[in-house]
Amino acid sequence: MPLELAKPTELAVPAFVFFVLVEMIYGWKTGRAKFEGKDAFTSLIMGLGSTVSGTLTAGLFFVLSYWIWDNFRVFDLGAGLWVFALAFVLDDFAYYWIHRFGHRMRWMWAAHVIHHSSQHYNLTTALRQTWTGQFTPGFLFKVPLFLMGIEPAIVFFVAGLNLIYQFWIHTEAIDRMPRWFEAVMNTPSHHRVHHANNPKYLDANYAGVFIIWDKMFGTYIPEDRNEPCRYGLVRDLGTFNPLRVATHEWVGIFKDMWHAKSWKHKALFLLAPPGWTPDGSRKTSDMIRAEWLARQSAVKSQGNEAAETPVVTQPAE
Amino acid sequence: MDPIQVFGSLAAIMVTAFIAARMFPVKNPLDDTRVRNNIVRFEADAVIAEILIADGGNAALAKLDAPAESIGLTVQLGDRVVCRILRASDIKRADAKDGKLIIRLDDFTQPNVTLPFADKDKLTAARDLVNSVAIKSPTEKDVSHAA
Repeated sequence: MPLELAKPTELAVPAFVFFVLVEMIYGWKTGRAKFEGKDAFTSLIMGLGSTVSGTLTAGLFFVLSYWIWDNFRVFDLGAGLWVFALAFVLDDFAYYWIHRFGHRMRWMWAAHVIHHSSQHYNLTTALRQTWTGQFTPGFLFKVPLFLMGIEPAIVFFVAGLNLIYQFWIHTEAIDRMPRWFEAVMNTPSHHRVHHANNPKYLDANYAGVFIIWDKMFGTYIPEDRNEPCRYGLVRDLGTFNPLRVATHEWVGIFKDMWHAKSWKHKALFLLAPPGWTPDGSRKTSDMIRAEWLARQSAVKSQGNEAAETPVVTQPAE
Repeated sequence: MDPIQVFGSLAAIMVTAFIAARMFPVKNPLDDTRVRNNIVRFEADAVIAEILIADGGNAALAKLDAPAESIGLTVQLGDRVVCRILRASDIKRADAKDGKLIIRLDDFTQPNVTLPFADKDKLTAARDLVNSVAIKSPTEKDVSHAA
């Protein structure tokens, strides 16, 4: 009999709405948080749609997870408090890799790009979630937890807590947390970098709760006060239409695969990093960063005044 | 998910978005500086020769010296700006009529862009600018559809 646990994210919805309104009022008073009506509407509709689409396929993943756990688990860890704590940490570790692949594999990016498609960074952005995550291989990253013997209900529960943690870090209203906290935990500062499309910040800070994963695996970049974050995609969407927001990268993948000249290219349009093309006509984040670094070093080698200060990307409009 | 929960959430979303729109009205239309800054941010190697801002400041075209055979497009989306560097193959069709230039792009993420120009000379200049790209590197669709 599966363990019956509450769904933390559903319980947190009223708090989400409350804190969005609080941030809005704070931003209105101080100018330290920015909103735009249509952008907020799209973000919130994406959040609702994500919940609905997740509900539609939750049963399938629930059954599959329990089948794996029932038949292949190595240990029976039970449901003690320490198992919840262990599950929380390991689930966050799995989240780091899901998230990293979510940026580095176009198949998974097709689902995750939605979360990055706003040019704003506020608490509504936290709720701008995918409708199509279930069509990616992200689930596979959770399988080791089931194999270890952590009951799926516990994994789903702690994954909900993980998402709730990540809500509050989507804000410009908080500058920096205490140093010890910034060292261990994911914070608004770290996550602003993750959402920024400045070349310097691309593909960094994948952490969910613990920033230590980024520090361990070389993907950590601290926020630089001289390089203000500009949010959104390297090629921003020209629409607020939720259906286009939800599906645009899938449409791009299908088009590219359809026109690809070989099976290898078809596969790479799905599995290679976003922006990959056989002829290099589009840019991956690595290419964008390399070009930026080349421009930086060119400025420095010219020995002009600009070398004294970094070349700052144009800030948000 | 309970239907009441869904409709309740929808209502909350509409109220929240309405409040956001009232508290943070969109004020600044595009001007030369914003267009220039955003195009260079989007394409660091862009060299802008001329900017044509549509009436109302919601969209603008930029004649570029670099990259070659391309033009810049900036569109105001809410209070932010979206940029594209357009080459011949990006333009599906462009129609100049009733004081407006409507550009249809081969881009699922960018719906049709409408640039109103009350000044006929400006409209002609904008149309010619789009044509200059479409004609330089013609594709079948550009030759038959460009304005």
